[in-house]
Formats: sequence, structure tokens, C-alpha cells
Amino acid sequence: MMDFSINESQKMIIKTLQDKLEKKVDFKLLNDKSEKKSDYKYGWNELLELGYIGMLNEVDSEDYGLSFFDFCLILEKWGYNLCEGPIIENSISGILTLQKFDKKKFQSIITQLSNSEKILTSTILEQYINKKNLPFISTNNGKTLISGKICNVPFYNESSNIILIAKSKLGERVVIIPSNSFKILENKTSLIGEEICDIEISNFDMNENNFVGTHENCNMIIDFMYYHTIISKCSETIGAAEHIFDITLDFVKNREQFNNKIGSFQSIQHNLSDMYVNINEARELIRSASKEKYSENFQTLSLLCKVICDEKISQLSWTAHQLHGAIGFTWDYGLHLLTKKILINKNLGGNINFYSNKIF
Amino acid sequence: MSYKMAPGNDRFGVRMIGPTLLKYGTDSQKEKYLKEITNGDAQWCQGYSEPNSGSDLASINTKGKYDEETNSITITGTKVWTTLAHRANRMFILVRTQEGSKRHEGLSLILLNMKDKGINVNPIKNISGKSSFNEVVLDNVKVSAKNVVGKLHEGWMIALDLLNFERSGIDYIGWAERCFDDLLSYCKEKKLLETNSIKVKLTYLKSSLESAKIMTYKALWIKEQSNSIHMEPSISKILATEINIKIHDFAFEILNTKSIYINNNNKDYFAERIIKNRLFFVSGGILGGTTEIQKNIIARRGLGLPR
Ligand SMILES: Cc1cc2nc3c(=O)[nH]c(=O)nc-3n(C[C@H](O)[C@H](O)[C@H](O)COP(=O)(O)OP(=O)(O)OC[C@H]3O[C@@H](n4cnc5c(N)ncnc54)[C@H](O)[C@@H]3O)c2cc1C
Repeated sequence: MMDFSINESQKMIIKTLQDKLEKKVDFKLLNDKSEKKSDYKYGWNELLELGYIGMLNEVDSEDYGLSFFDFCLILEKWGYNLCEGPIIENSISGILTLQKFDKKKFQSIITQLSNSEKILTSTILEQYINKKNLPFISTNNGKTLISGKICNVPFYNESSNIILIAKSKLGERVVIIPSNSFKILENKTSLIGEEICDIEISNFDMNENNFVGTHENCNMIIDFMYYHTIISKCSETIGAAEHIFDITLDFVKNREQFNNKIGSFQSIQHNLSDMYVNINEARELIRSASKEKYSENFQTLSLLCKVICDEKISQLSWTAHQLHGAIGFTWDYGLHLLTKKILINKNLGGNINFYSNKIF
Repeated sequence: MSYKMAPGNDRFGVRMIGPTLLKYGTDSQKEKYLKEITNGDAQWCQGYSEPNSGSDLASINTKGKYDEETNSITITGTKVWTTLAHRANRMFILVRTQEGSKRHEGLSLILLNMKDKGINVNPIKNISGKSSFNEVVLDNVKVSAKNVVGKLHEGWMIALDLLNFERSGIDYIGWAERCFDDLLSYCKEKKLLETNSIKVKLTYLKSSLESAKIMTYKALWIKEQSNSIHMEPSISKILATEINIKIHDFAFEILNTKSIYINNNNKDYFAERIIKNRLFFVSGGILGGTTEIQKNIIARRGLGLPR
């Protein structure tokens, strides 16, 4: 029998985090951020204070640390509360990947990442689906140099290092490079005010310490990062969807028309049921996938999670707007922020054509 | 078993009355009926619906007169849409045993032997031209009160609990998964996966299939955890029904004209099965409580929306 339980320590982790984060959610300030009138951000510091980032453990252990499943539960709350920060990038590409593939070499970086002395960002979602323009590694006079351009890098300004995929004559490699070796080409702002950069590096002189893994296991490393990131993004999405659902349920229970709560109308009730069904199916699929990281189904399951989110959760956000009437169409009400978060995640990491080619 | 299309799988016994007896049955009921079910010696049928009581099950009218002296109940009334009653040797039936009672009060869940005197089974032809369900007329059928599951007049909650066992049925997923796998093999064999739109459609179907499967497992798991009412059986019933319809519809589309003939001289069993199952799944969103009723349950009992 499959086990769907959340144990006591997981419940405690989620509750502590939710208590801390929900006080921070302020649609007015978040709106200001998306208009670039403020730099309102939370989540990262709260997680650091709670020490959760440093507890992430690649090997599932009952005695110590947070498993990937625990991490996904945390990300549900992260998405629910519209947090912003390099939690996924840093934790997946940094802590989990380095722990798994090159622990010895990167031990001190792993420690620094865990206590936030260093912050890693990753370009995996962008580069995985578009491998045409990878930065190039060449050798010249005994030096190993890297040059190239990368688009849509999240959290570049907060990061100390970037983990990326590069190409050499022998094939692809995963490398870690200090962020200040890059030059910003363009600063962009996402729909909800997150900063994203296009960056460039030119003839940066690398040594052995910049390379993660080997030529041989490079594809495994890239896949590891990609599929873990996909599941993480889905967890974040499901959190945002739960927030949308809660707001909508509350709204239909209170809004009156025709002298009745609109939630007493059957068509509204069935829409809410549909939303509830879709959230439940997506959440359970994502949680079960996050527990399957050692199974050979993990990659397919991850993609299926993304497909469910892209299809059904984005539909859910449109339904929520419909059930709100005009108020949901306003800037101040704030529902749009959650919808936009879901839409942004939908467009990261590929699309249905890409996923179906991978699966079949 | 449903994936392998094993014949003789008695879902009314294994999936509905069996688990219900485990939970509410007397020792002698367990001893007798569970043994039969596990040995595959019984075929059960479900006597809930009546001509004027479908979704509104609490309005049933079949009467059971209790006689204290003989400790027996005499049942009179008509049940309808009773699947496999023509083959069954046992029936669990919901009966109004308390005279004058209304709605959920005064109902009992009773176990019958289909050979009991006064039971008449009239087959009804279904959409496929075959008879899978029946009208069952009960004319003064006498049964011992020892056959009541739980307490006399207090059968409603037990009957609902049984419905939840029905709704979280894993066999729906078995059928859907089998159809999907066969369809995928067919597409590979005919090189249809080279067509992007087909691959994309299969991807959507696979993701919905996996999530429906997970929710079905969750519904089963949660039923083991506690006795309180959960929404998962209704969720899994909605999802499993929907995905079966979608997968069979797509298979129907892919098979094109092959799937529209009744007498298939080429003996294309896959095509035959697809059309048969597609037609069967017209009923998926109706039997065991309609999709609309499941949504009502989720909205009102689960989410607390007002009536
Ligand atoms: C193939 C098949 C096998 C069956 N096998 C059995 C069996 O073995 N034993 C048994 O007891 N029964 C069986 N049934 C009966 C089944 O349980 C009922 O058909 C079902 O409960 C619906 O009842 P109804 O057909 O009378 O439809 P109705 O209740 O009349 O419903 C008609 C339509 O109205 C909608 N509706 C009704 N009330 C509401 C409401 N409050 N809100 C919104 N919409 C509503 C329904 O969703 C449906 O769309 C079977 C049915 C089928 C099709």
C-alpha cells in the first residue's frame, strides 16, 4: 500500500514556515514590486533563520536532514506565500547535485551554500531546452577558457556563483563559475517583478575546480538537475494554486447576489469541486514523484507532473478569476499575482511538445 | 485483474460488500460470506436504485416488514438497474424497514439469497444491445433478521460507506491503463508516434491517468486510516471515470473506421474492445453516484458550501 502520510516533524516544518511566511504576504507591497516601485522580498531569509537550507540531504535519511520530499513540502508553502529567492536554484543545483556527484571536491562550497555564505543560481531550465547556444570551452596556450552568452538567468544579482552547462570539443560539461566573471547584457523584470538577466562571459580562465563531475556522467548530472528542478517548480505551482483556491472558496462563501451567497449556486459549487479535484490530483502526483527519485520512473513522472500543472493548474487559475467576477480582474485584489506565478512556471523548462518527445 | 481482463471478477463481492462486512458484519456473516467471496463461490449484486430513486437514494420505497416473533423481514418492492442480478446468487439490498420513516431514517442493509422465494429478475437491454443490468421485483421475500448488516433501521451510513468502497475502485484504473498501453503499442506498431499531435495527446492522457491512479490509491489508503468521511473516493471516482472516457475516445479516434463495425470479420479484438468499453463508459459517470452528485458531495460536505 502506498503511504500518503505526512509525519509529525514534516507537519511541524510546514506549520512553522507557514506561520512565519503568511505574515509577510502583502499584496500591496507585492504589487509595488511588480511595478518596480519597491524591492519587497521574503522567504529566503526566513528559511535561513529556520536553518532548513542547510539541512537538505541528498541521501534520504530518517535520522538527519530534509529529504527531497520534505523540500517539496516546503516549496508548496513557498509558492503559497509568493516568496522569492534562489531556493530552488541554490538547493537543487548546488546542494543536492554537488552532494551527489562531486561531494569531496565541493565540500567547502556545499557548506558555504548551506549557510548562505555563497548563493548559487542555475541556468538549467533555460539551457536544457535550448542547447544550441551553450557557452564554449576551448583551450589556448595551456589555458582552459570559457566564453558565451546565457539568457534568462534568475537571481543573478544575488548569486555568488553560477552553475551552467557548457560545450567543449569532447561534449557537454557542467561548470561552476563566480558570478562576477560575467557581464550583464540585459536586465529584465518578470510579470511579478523578479529580476532576470541575460549575461555574457568572455575567455574566463578555468581550472579543475570549476568542473562538476566528468565527461562521462555529465548527462546524468544535467538530468538530475533538470528533473529535480521541474518537480520543485511544480511544488511551488501547487502552493500558489492552493492559495488561489483558498481565496476563491472564501470569496464564494461571502459574496452575495440574488439574496444568496454565490457559493450556494450549483454551477459555482461544481467549479469549486473541479478546482479541488485538480489541486488534489496534481499535488499527490507531485508528492509521489518527489518520493520516487531513485526509481527509473522518476524522469517520466516529473514530466507528467509538469504536464498536469501546465494543463490543469493554469486552467484552475482562469476559473478562479471567473468565479470572482470583476473584482478578480483588479490590480489591488492581488489574485493576479498568484495567477502570474503559475503562468511563469508554466513557461519554464519546456512545453508539451518537448515533454511528449521526451516521454515517447 | 481488470488490467488483465480476468473474467469472473466479482467487484460487488470483493470491492463492495466484502470490505463492508469486514467492518460492520457479525462473526457468522463474516464466516459465511467472506469465505464465499474469497473462494470465488459467490456472485453478488447491489439492490440500491429504484425506478423513482436514483441519485436521491434516501427516497427509496422498497419496504421490509419486521416480524419480532419470527425475527424475520418480509420485503416487497422493485429495484432497478441491478447489474448482474441475472447471474448473481447473492444480493445486498437497501430496504425501508421502519414503517412511516422518512429519508435516511429507518433503512436497513440486508443480505439476500437470489434463490429466495418471491424474487423475479427481468433483464434490461443496455446500450450495447446486451443485458448487463436488470429489474428485480421482490414480492413478499422473507429473510431472517440475522441477515441485516449492522443494526436494524440503521443501515444508511453503512450503505454510504459501501458506496465509498465502490467509488474508490481500482478496477477503473486497470481498464484505463490497459487501454492506454494497448493504444500505445498500436501507435508504435503503425508508426503513428511520428505524428506530433498524437504524441502530445498521449502525453496529456498519460498524465491524467497517473494522477487518477494516485488519487485512487489515496482513496484506498485514507479509508484504511480513519472512519470519518473523506472526499477522496468522490475525487477518484470523477477522475477515473473521466480518464477512461478520454482514453477510450482517443483510441476510438485513432482506430478510425475500424471501430464502427459490430461484426468484425478481421477479428480485430482491440477495435472490438474499444467500442465495447467506450459504450460501457457512457455509464461510468452515472453508476455508483453520478459525477454531478460527486461534485455536490465535494462542494457541500467537503468544502462546506451552503445549500
Ligand atoms: C450501467 C449501470 C449499472 C448500474 N448498476 C447498478 C446496480 O448494480 N445497482 C444499483 O442499485 N444501481 C445501479 N445503477 C444505477 C445508478 O446508481 C443510478 O443510475 C445513479 O445513481 C443515477 O440515478 P438515475 O439513473 O435515476 O439518474 P437521476 O438521479 O434521475 O439523474 C439524472 C441526471 O440528473 C442529475 N442530478 C440528479 N440529482 C441532481 C442534483 N441534486 N444535482 C445535480 N444534478 C443532479 C444526475 O447527475 C443526472 O445527470 C446502475 C446504473 C448504470 C447506468
